[in-house]
Amino acid sequence: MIALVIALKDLRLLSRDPGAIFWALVFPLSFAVLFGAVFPSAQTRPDLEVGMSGDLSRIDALRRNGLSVTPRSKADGLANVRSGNALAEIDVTPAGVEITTDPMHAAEGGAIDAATTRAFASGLSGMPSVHRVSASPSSSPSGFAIAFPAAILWGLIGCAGAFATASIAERRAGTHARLCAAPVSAATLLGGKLIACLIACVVDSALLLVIARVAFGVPFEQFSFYGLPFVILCCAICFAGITVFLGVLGKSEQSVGGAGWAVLLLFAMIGGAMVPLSTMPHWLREASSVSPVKWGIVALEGATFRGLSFRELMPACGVLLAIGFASVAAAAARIARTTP
Amino acid sequence: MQTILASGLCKVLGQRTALRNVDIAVEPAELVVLLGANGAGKTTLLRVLAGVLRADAGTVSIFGEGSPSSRRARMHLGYAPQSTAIYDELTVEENLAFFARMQRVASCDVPAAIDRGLEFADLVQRRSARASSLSSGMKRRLHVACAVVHQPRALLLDEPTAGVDAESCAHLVSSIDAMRRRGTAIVWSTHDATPLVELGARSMNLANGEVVS
Repeated sequence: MIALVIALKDLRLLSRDPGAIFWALVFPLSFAVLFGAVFPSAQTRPDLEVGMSGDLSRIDALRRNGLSVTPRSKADGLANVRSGNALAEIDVTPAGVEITTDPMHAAEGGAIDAATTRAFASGLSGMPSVHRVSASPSSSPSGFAIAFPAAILWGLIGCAGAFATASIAERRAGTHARLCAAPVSAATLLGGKLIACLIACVVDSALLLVIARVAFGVPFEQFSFYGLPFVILCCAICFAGITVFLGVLGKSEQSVGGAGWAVLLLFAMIGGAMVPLSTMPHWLREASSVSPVKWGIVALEGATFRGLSFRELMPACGVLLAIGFASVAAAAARIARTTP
Repeated sequence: MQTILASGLCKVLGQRTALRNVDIAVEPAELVVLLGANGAGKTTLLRVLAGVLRADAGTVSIFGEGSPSSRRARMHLGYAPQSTAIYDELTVEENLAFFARMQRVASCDVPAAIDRGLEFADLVQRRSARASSLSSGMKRRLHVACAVVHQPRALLLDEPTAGVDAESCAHLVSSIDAMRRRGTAIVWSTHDATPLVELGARSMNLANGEVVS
């Protein structure tokens, strides 16, 4: 109950802070509008990365035609395409060649189609039938559908930054000392902050999704009923955890405002909130796995236009939950060490 | 029985010894004034008594119950730190309500606690104003009111009249003295004990972390 009183106070303070509202809502919305308008529905990608299954005899011909081909099982290949890690899966069977493409990359889909046709036409007496299918229910997502997951992550970063800075401001102003002298445990104080940040993150994400649907026509009808709320909750837990950790780590508003924001911006930069993950080179996409922003975007894209199932969302959601809980545990340990 | 009893308190902060073998005992309805120059150890002593800071050595007993960190002791302890510890973006009323709830005042008693706090701080007319819109003297009065909103049996005040004009200072002194007369034990840290002389306060001088008189 006392934790809820603390959470309510923190939410009230947030709602009265124009700077926090800007970073949590206005900036992400501006980001989505600008990037959504700038991005065409199909994006370009530096490498034409595809998977191949079935008969691999033409793999060298495909590579000579400009494709970066990795042999995989069909199931793994399709999962890679659905999660955005490969542009297409080429399955070769006696019946023909089936190319399953990522709908986010329509132009590359055409190029892969052409390269495959050339590879199979050269040196063969009979040309097998080549047909292309989409890996996701959404045939070609709009620029806004692609930009809004990143915008939601910017909103979460804004909430995290605002709450972490407010926590430090409390310590500087002496209100934290006053709360420490009150009959309230450190766990309750931490819980109150966590609840407030969790609620703010969920409300912020939900609000951006509603704006995406109502104002920009981003379609959500085909998505899992439970998937999207679950992903939002996982993202909120992750960033609420990071917030309380940053809040107990820094000693001054300047340190949180500087180092905290720098870390969050680095996460955003390599995690795909500035430049879409799908346009990054392979090595940077691998390196981005350290960023919670990447897992948030993967999960949000999966739960929106990629139409991933609940089970397919679990790896990304699992990472988000792990980061969130680990951050809370680290914050609790630090508070236990520093509180009389 | 003493409301506050501490003996042999020692505290080192970084390279500096902030408290050196300090003893203090405060009876119910007694006002003890902590005097001393900047860095004498007044704030550190109050923080240790409030349970915000752990002493390196020595013992503190509040209401004869041992540690000030115990929940029961904290319920009857009021603490106003040196900085003006209120939320600027909350209204006067919201600040009082929040700190009353933090001091475990029951929800049904919060409206009465708010009224008491408003009377104490002489801010009845400004109850719906944001704290950020108050003058520094008003903020200071609200800051102290937040420490007494639950009617504590022991009150620790760290320079409550710093930056307060003469009129506000007189109001604060008379409000706090009224609490003392009702039985609250008070430890008041200040550079200037002039306004407290008439109240029969007992002085305690600190220098370099030691009690000198």
